[in-house]
Amino acid sequence: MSIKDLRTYFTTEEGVVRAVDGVSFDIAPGERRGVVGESGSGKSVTAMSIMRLIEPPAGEIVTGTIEFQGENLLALREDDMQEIRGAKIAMIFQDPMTSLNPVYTIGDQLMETIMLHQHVNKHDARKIAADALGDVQIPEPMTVLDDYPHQFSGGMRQRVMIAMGLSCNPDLLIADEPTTALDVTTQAQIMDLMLKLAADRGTAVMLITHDLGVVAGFCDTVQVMYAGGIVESGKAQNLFSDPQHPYTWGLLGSMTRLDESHTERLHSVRGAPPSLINPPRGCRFNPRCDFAKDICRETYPALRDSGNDGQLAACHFATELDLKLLTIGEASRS
Amino acid sequence: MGSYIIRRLVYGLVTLLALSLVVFLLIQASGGGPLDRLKLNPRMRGVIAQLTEEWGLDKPVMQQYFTWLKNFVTPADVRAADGLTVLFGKIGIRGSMPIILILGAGAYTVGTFLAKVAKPWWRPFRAFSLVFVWFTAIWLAKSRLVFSLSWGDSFRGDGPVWDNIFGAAGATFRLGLTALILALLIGIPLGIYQAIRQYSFFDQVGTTLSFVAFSTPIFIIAVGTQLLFALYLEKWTGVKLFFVAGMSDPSYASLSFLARMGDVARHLTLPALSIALISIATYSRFQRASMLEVMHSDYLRTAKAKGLPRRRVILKHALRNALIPIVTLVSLDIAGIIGGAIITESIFGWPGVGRLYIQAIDAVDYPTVMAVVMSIGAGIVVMNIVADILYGVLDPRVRYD
Amino acid sequence: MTDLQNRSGDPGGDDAAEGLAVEPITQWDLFTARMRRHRLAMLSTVFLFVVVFISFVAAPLLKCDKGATECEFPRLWDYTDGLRDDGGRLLVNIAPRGPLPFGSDEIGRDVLSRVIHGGQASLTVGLVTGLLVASLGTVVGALAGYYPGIIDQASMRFTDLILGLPLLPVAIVVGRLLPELTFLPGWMRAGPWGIAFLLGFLLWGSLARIVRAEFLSLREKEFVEAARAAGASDRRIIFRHILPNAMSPIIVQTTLIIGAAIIIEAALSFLGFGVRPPTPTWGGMAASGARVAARGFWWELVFSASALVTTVLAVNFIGDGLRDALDPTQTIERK
Repeated sequence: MSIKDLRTYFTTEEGVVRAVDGVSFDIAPGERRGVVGESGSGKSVTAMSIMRLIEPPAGEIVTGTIEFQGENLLALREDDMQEIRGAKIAMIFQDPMTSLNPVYTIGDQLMETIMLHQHVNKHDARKIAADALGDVQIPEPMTVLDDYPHQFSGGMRQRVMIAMGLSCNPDLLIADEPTTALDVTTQAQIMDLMLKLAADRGTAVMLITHDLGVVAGFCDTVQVMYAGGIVESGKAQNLFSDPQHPYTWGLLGSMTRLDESHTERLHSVRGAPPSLINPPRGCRFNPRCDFAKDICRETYPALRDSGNDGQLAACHFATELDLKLLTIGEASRS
Repeated sequence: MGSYIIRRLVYGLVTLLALSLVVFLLIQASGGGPLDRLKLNPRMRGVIAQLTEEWGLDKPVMQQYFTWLKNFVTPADVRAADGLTVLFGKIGIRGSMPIILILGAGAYTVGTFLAKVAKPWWRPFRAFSLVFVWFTAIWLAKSRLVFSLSWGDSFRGDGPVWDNIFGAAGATFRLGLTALILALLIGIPLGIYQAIRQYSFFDQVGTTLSFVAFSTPIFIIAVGTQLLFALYLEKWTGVKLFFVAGMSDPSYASLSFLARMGDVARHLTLPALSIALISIATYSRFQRASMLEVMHSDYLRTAKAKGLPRRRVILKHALRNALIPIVTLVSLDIAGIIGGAIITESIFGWPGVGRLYIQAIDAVDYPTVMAVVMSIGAGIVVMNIVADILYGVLDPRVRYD
Repeated sequence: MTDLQNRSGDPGGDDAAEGLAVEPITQWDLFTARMRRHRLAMLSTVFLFVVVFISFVAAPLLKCDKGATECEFPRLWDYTDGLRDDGGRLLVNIAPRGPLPFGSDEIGRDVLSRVIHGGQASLTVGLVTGLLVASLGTVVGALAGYYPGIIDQASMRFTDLILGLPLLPVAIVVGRLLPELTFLPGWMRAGPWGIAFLLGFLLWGSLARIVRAEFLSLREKEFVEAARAAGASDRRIIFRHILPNAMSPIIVQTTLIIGAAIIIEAALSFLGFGVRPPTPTWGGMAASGARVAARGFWWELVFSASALVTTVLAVNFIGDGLRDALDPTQTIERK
């Protein structure tokens, strides 16, 4: 999939919220790409834009193209888009407790997608659904098919969601914070499961999360989003060991680590996320950036290659800051 | 589920008992005198003494209560005979009872098909129970069964209380049921449409009108429609479209079927609408809120993400969830409809239980008053239980209680 | 994200030190800001104040004859001479004109004077019932929600009992018998206070349920545990910690009940079982107005009905505004 210059704006009482403002990136077949950022950075909206689930009149995809299997998704008719949703591109959401319809059985909801996209009869669909449940390691799938969502825990429901997402063998699975609502142990299980399933089937995964730890264990590539734009992207290991953008560096610095001295105060990126109605001029991160210079307040930095195997960073000083060497204390003095 | 129903029935019984005690004591405490008017006249002393003796008015209060209670639940007459005439013989009831029975059987049928019970015995059970229910309903509707409890005689000299009440019950059923159906048929789609077209002109106007209707006492609405659509309409246009008094024309029995239908409609429309209007306002607001909540729900988002066509998404996923709370709302509203009926019947001269009640209250005809209060109370208890069952059918989360 | 959001709820230490200062915004500020946006609610509050003022301040100050059949308003013209009979009484059924803006009714009373005084009954019932319902409902609900086990069960059974009573039939019976219940004090038997108490005792059930639900969920929150660990007594926890957080649904529901109470009182008076004549009530006036309306004398009915509807409408709009203003979780923005 190739996304170019995607812009999605929302019209509210207070003004136009530029939730996604010029986002471009690619996802290769089978690639596991992580999308990281704070709340309000635009990561969920990007996903919803890909699926074209943004509801007018409040929200609108203003411009951009999304190339997928030879077609521009943003130009498709709604009918054609419906055929892609669930079948070629599937999406699973954050809160498993509320993402399943409480008045229909699990089987009903699974079979619904299967019958719709794979054009099989009820009997076959049931079998496929049971297999899907087996794939996500739910015990006794045949019984589960006739049960209702409220009878299951969050972890189980999320497995059902994953089963639903993968049931029609999509080429791309978008997972919007799939483990945020779960406890840590279940989190690990679910991520392992997703890793295995994606690897087995060669499904590309776009994993949206704010949890860097989850990303580290799962993704090949990572992109960091801030205030509606991508500020850095690259291979996962490179990004974590050698961040080129001050924001990424700040995020990594704010994580607690086992190997760090525990007498230091936990660093957080100072300030608050900016207004998306009236974003700061120039680089959107400049009010909070420890290294901001005048140019940062004037010109918006495009993503530029900072070496390192295709790592891109949206900073005027990307290659000049040797961030990994600076400790927190030094940075605030420079 | 079964034990839950039993529990609710027991609580209902306790409530009814408490209700009867409270009302009875209040009547006694007020020196409750059906004989008060007679007492004003000194020459009536002998009659007063006789009636006091006859009606047991000189016994201690609690004894009077228990006597009343015992009589209230004792059957007086059970036989199969030309019962239909005796039981429902009074004005225009004949049509209502069979309709209610058929509706009840129909509701049960719908319910059983909507419920998703995965047990193996379900299908045969459903088949048998449906046969049973329909058989009973049709038999009862056509039966000539006579049954009555010894509710005593009216203090106004009007005859047996049971007969009066059940004679009037059909009229009230007709009015109340029509009002309820109107309210549901108009209110629910209105609310749904308002939610789909949120913030549109239609939505805003609808919301404001709902507020106004909700803030207007029902007697104003009743009197208003009476004046506007009947009296003044006639005065200004000479067209006598709706009737404002009574339930049917004196010549009803002699009219053709079509003319009868027309007569029913012309009498029924204004009072039923008056009652329904407030309910329409309530239901549409509620349905709008419920629909909006569903429309912004996560599971709807999931359904769309699966690629389901929009129509299917709304019809299958949204609607059922949005309709569930209405059941609770209606069960709470039944009391309101009954209250509305009481007032509307007085204004429109509708020969129902409400009007009977007002007449009885005025004269402190306490057997009738007690009987009516108890009947209404019992009706509400039953309706609430039915609503609970319906809720369980629609929402699987509640079933395994 | 609005300015409001940017400024409130902010992180802390580092920022103060670096000059990214944050002004604290209180709950009250947020509340009044949202309330002010709801124009109808603001209008209604003003309107209601006017009505209350007229009914309780202006009315007693006006010079009226007994039974409020005619009040002396400051008049600019020489007024009712042509409208009186030889005995000095007003003629009956005079349509609204100059000195009698609301006309006169079928026994020759000035409708305007009566409408002005009629508000007392409705508003007294509304306010007193509201207070009663708020107190009873909150107490029962709080106890049931906070103390599990038998207190909860017993309270809820009792509440269910009250809720199971058919409202209007019972109200009608009691209303009818009220003047004759000699065990009650006189001021309760005549006039709106008795009705107010009656309705107060009948209507608190729904509020109790709501309060109980709130308390049940709030009881589990950490701040309660913290308070208990700090040694707070049950009473303190209930009143100082949980209750303030439960205020919003209490206020909203009470407002709705006040509206309902006014309507029920009017219905009772309409039927003749509420506040008895000759005390003017809007419901009673609607009844006598309806009787003569068929003959074309519309004013008594129309003015009393308008007074009723606008007052209740105002109460309901305020309730709606309160609900919008007090609900911190409202996410659906108006456009």
